[in-house]
Amino acid sequence: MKMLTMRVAIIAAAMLGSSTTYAQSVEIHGAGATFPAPLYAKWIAAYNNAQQNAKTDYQAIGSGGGIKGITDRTVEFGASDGPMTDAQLKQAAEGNGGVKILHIPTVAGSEAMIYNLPGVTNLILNGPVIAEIYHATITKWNDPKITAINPGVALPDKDIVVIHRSDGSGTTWIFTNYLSKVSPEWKKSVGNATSVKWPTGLGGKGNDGVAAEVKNAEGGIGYVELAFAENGKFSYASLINKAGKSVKPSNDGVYEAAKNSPDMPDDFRLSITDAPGDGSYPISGFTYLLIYEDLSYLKNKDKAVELLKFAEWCITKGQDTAAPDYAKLSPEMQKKVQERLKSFVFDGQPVLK
Amino acid sequence: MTTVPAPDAPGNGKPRSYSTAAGNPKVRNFFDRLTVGTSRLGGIAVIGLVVLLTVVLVQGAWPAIKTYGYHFIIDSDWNPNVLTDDDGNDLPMQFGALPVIYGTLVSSLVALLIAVPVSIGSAVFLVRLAPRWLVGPCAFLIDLLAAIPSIAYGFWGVAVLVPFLSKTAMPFLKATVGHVPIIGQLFAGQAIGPSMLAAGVVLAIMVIPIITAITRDVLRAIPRELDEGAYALGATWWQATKVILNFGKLGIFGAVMLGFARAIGETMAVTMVIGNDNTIRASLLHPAMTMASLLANEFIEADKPAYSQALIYIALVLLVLTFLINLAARWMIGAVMSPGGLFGFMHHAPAPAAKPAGAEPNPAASDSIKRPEPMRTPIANNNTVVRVINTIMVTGCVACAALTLALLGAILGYVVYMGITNLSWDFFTKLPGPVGTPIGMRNCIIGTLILIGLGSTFGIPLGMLCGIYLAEYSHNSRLSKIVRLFVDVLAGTPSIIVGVLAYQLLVMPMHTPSGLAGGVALGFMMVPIIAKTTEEMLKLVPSTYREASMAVGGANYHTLFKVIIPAASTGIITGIMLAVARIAGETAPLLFTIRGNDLDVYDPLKPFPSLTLEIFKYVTSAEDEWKRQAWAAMLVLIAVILVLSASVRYVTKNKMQPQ
Repeated sequence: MKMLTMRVAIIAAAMLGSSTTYAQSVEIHGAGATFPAPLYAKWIAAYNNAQQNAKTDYQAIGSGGGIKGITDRTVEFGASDGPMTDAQLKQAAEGNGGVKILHIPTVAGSEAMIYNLPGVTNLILNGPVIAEIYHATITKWNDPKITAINPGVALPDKDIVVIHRSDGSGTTWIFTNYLSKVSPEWKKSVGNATSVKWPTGLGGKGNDGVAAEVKNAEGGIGYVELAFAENGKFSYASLINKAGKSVKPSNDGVYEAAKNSPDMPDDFRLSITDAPGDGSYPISGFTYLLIYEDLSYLKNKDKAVELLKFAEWCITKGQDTAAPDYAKLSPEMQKKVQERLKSFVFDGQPVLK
Repeated sequence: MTTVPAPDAPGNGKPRSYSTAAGNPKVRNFFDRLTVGTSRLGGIAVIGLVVLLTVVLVQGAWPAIKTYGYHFIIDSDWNPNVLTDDDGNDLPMQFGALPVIYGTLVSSLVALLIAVPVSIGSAVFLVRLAPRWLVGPCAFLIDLLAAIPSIAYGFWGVAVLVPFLSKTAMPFLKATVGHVPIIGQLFAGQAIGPSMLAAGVVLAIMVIPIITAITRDVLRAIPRELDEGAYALGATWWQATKVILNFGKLGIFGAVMLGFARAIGETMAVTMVIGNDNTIRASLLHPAMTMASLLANEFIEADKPAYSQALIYIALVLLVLTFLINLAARWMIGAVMSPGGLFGFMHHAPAPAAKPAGAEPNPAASDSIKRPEPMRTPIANNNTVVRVINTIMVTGCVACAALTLALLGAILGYVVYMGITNLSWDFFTKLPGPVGTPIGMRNCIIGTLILIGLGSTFGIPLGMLCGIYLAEYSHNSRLSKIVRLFVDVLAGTPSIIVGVLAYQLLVMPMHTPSGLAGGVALGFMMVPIIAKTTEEMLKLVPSTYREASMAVGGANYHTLFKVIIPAASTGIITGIMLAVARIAGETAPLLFTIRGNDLDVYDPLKPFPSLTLEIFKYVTSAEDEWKRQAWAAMLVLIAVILVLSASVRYVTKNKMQPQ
């Protein structure tokens, strides 16, 4: 018995000991949004290969997890596509000696309405219809309200299987932000948040989980970032935008939406859903890194420097690999964000020069 | 249930000598007190863990408890979003747990509805029908079913069961039972694959081995005279079985309750197949949510303090519910099985729970003091109907056992097939990365091993101390009764709640998920398993060993370390291996505590990788490459667990051979 315990202890000690030999560079741990996860995975693989000073790890657990993580400070950076609310920002600052969280946009993206209807490839939807589908007031694919905007498309007499997120999600934030704009009823009864009370449907975990459920359920509909729609080879709907035009999700649609939205505020917390303009794709949004302005809590200046260098790499070099599924930041916006990165401090000193 | 070897002969023939220090009464006294004191501390520590768990949950949930009070459990509105009224004022968030309480109870009841007949049938088959050579292998296979981790059932559910339900079973149910008045309500509306029904079926498969094993023990504990008496009166096999079942009904009911307690706390498998809809719906074909799946989905995502508090309140409600059900179950089983219980008159051997599986039932004592009550109705009734019923019931019991084994075969076979076809060398050598590049799970395999090591360093000593205290030094004191109760409470605590505890206690203050937090959570799960087996094993060491040791001048600590523990070592190691097999497949306590880490770095104070967590991440994906990874990982995990479980079986079997 003693021998066994000792063996266990020795093995454990050896394993822990050997681990330290790996840790020469600093590690940076982030978590949150699944919306940009495929891109972040690509970025991190490239960035970790390109330099030796830092190894970054990103866990796609959902934007709600990114916000909770940064609020509780259990992540070194959070990530979310739903900007934090004023109340959440206040809460986080109160818990951390008044230090503010800054939003660092990395890319923008569009959310595709994916569906599983064999034989139907050119579905058109509009905001009010999506709201009614997610409200369960439209429950059949051949509902007159759907057929009316899909002339010539043979829609089956099939139940619609509504699929939404089961975790706290920035993708949900952007989606419900759009529905709250186009449907007063939605705004009143469900609202706009990372987690809402869904009137109907089936919950999947992460963008991936929603995609998987739509794939499994004939008659299913769900909302995912374009990358997930393309990777999974889903059919996705064209949406009728505010200008009355039917548009497919695309980077151009996101650029148009950003261009036609109000000016970018200083804290970058801007909704670009339901934007005017012929080419605007209505369910578009930015995705953010969430980082405290004073990085002293990282306790290690190298870490602070490396974290910001990584963020800077994302908004400069990383932008080249954002397409085709994500829309890169405009040059002006890149400049603005880079400027913002200089406002981070460690022990009262700016981290980046 | 746990299988138990007979003790080794002490010393294996070598003479034992006690160190000369033993001669000094002061030293002796000191070490004696130290040994007894430390083991008592182990017992008290278990009480401490349960108290800690309760305090942390109550404290974390306190604001929600104050706000919602008992309305929390009768309110059906769960809305974590701040809505605004017509004047633009913020409305408060609403947190009502009724839909998840409903989902928890209904999914578990569906599970019992399926599992109870199958389990009882299987147990009857094992005890009263199976030829002797078949009993051992069958019992072993059913025990294996219990060793398969929750996440594997979930994965199988997603890949096989849910498509079958949505394409075949649900349309059939809708078309047939759906038209029956009242009951039809349960099978109406949209037939969506992930649903209450899917959760119920998966849970049923998961609780069958538990209910079967305990029912088996209960049936074995029933005096054989009853059986013989029934046959003597001319009863058929089924009529005699009815007598036996009737006699053991309280114990069987306890077994069912234990299965029920297990089902309501089950997390991963349910989360993967239930569809996660936080609303009460009549139809079983519709998605639903349980308390455990709500926690698994939202606890780590709750981005507002009030939201987190409400979720901790959920954990507290779940804890209390499992506690009450476990307590009831253990009382019922105890009433049947323990000396002084219903059959107390016939117990002069160790309690059946601590008896080698596959062994013969205790022969009924011929000198019973009290006889069971006489049958109220004569059962000799040899007409055709009775014989037909008898044949049907025999066939039914065989069919139940066959079904249980077929399910095991189907699940294991599918996992092995999918695993082998998707396993590659890259899996063992590469790290996780973006789709399209060669990826593997080397770091997750290493991570899981270290997590098991961390859990063991915490769980094994504590569990053993507690077991030693209960077996050797408690002398049936009041404290020991409390400790025993708390060991049971710990054993029944859903693992997801342990995850919540570790998050509040370690992740929050350390400001990072970590291997340590995950290890502590896993260790927590090991403590009751090890404490129980250690106690049972030590109790099997004949008291003559202790007396002999004392007689030659051994102190308490000599007796313990040189005689009793060596004599029981095989059994204790068995318990440890069982505990390791159990935690190797655990996912729920890791969800909140380690978060995962794709780097090749294993710092126990940093986010940590684990196979099970990675499987969960990949299973819920639409990406084929990731699914392939998940299957490969599942095969590796199950292989490890089954090898552990099988070697436990092997070790105990060798030890059971008569000398």
